[in-house]
Amino acid sequence: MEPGSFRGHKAIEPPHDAKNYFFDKDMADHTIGWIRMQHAMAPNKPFLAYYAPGTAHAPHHAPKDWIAKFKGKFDQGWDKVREQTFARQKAAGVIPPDAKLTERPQAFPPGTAERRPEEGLRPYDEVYAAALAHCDYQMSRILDTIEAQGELDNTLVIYIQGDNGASAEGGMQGLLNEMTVFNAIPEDMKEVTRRMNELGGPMTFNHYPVGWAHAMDTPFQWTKQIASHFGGTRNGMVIFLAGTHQGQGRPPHAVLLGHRHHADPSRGRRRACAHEHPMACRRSPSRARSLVYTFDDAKAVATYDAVFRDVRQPRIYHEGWVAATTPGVAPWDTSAEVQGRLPAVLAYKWELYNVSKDFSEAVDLAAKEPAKLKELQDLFWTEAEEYNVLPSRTAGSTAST
Amino acid sequence: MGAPNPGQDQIRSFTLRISCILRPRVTRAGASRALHELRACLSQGKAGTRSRSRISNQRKKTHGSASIHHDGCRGADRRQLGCWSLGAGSPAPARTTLRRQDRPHDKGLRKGLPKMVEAPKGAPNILLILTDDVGFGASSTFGDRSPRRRWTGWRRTDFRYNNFHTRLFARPRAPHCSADATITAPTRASSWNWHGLPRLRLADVEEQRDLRRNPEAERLHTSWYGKNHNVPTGRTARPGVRPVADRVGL
Repeated sequence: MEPGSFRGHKAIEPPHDAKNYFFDKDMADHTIGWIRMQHAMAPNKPFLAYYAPGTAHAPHHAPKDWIAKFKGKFDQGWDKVREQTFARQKAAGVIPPDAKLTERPQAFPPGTAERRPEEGLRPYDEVYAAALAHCDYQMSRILDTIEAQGELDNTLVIYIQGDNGASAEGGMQGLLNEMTVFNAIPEDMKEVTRRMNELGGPMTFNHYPVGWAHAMDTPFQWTKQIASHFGGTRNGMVIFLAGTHQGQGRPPHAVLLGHRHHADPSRGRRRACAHEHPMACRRSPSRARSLVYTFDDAKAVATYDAVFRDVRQPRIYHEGWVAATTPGVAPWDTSAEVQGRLPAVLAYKWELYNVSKDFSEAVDLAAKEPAKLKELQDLFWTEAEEYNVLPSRTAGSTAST
Repeated sequence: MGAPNPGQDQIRSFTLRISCILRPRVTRAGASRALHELRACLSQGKAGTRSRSRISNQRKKTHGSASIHHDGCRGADRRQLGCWSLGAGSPAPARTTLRRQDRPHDKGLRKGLPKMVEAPKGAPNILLILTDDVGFGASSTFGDRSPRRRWTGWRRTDFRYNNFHTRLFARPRAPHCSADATITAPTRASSWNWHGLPRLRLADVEEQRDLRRNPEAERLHTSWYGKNHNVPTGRTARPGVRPVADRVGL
């Protein structure tokens, strides 16, 4: 993977001649070099380093020996992978004990969870896992560098396993070249099978099948591009407070409960560093709130009126309840817009979840609590108007980013 | 005396002004305004028309605050200022000698200069990492098997958030680092949009505006290496490739 890149505002030539080039590694090398440089030149001035790897967006690339590490690890099928992941999540305590594993939405075609090795589709998931692990190794290198500089105890690390759910535009068979789906070109299975061994290398722009995306979003419904359900929007985040906030009686590895919608880590970062910016008064008002309050109370719920609205697939959160529309177009259905198959905004079916008790949005209460649903629907339209995000039309599947 | 010599008047005026700059409290706006006025006077030949008493009165009124007379000489080399006003062929200007303790760059003037922005004492370094398209259950930290070497079992306090939400698309990448950071720091932005289709445009204007300022970018050494969605749409295609969007009229 040799993406067209910019240094500052200047486009630079992709490293065509570099053998075994990996974007994540290259970016980590730059980050490491920069941290060392700034530490040597101005060690008294703290740094803010932002490492934004390309993984695990398509294409998923990894060295062959990393791919080999995952050979056969997912032969059990993707439904089984979901169940195993769910069990590990409960054992680790990262989800509540009463959380339920959601049912697969009906919009997913039959056979979604089958790996179909007989058709030569085996390695998509293995390559994905290898790419993620390889990327993780690059992050470790950055941390090792900070540690070697003696700065680890003075570094606040914010690690977001984002930036949305796993992506599902790969369709049922996965993609040898992701650009085909955006141009509505079906891939020839013979050609795909012939080139399976190239997956993860520079000649493929590969993307995994829908079933694997769904498994990666365990325990939630849906995937990236679907704003109405947690599979598209809920992400794991870890904040390491080394030194700055220690000694407050908090256990390590605390899992923070409570609902944090629309949170902006930069706000928390700013508060955590006690920064007051002289330009603050010129900033436009934002609903983002600091996360600092979560450092002191693991079970703290949002201290503000958190309303999450999204126009692409309308949903709203308010005081522990989520009202969400049922997706009208699946992420892999890229021709729906062109063919005029998008449902009207006002024709959406709505679902209702009590997420204060139902962590994974597993039980739809729309039929049981119509009054609550109506209340949230009204709130959505009020909020959408107030913040100038009224949905004017249903959004179809677009280029993913 | 015979005909008034405008050059002499100017010399007197500037000498007075030079004496005024010893007032320490000035503002950049005041300095800029006064310098502008001074240049305007010179260009119109009106310099040196103020009387000593008027300036003295004004000095009394504006004691301790910014004044156009105080500031008028700040932006230029004071020893050269008189020469500028006299032009070629004029007599040499009277030179004002300042005692060392009165030199503006030694004490007063320094207060008027912009202060370097610094991080508060004890502010930590920050490392921000944001991966792409990784679902909630994809890594071992949150349940899967893909190894995460440093993110669990670390000897430091870690807070794992299981109710953290991002947007459905790329926008969550942007708020973490502002456009300022990409300009002021070494930046490497990748262009993934090879097919040239327009990037998504969501309507939340409120947060778009919020990206413009990032205090950390000024107070800390800031860098951003990796994927970047702040690259303008028109620059995301490869050089020479006209975006598909233009052709199909999207």
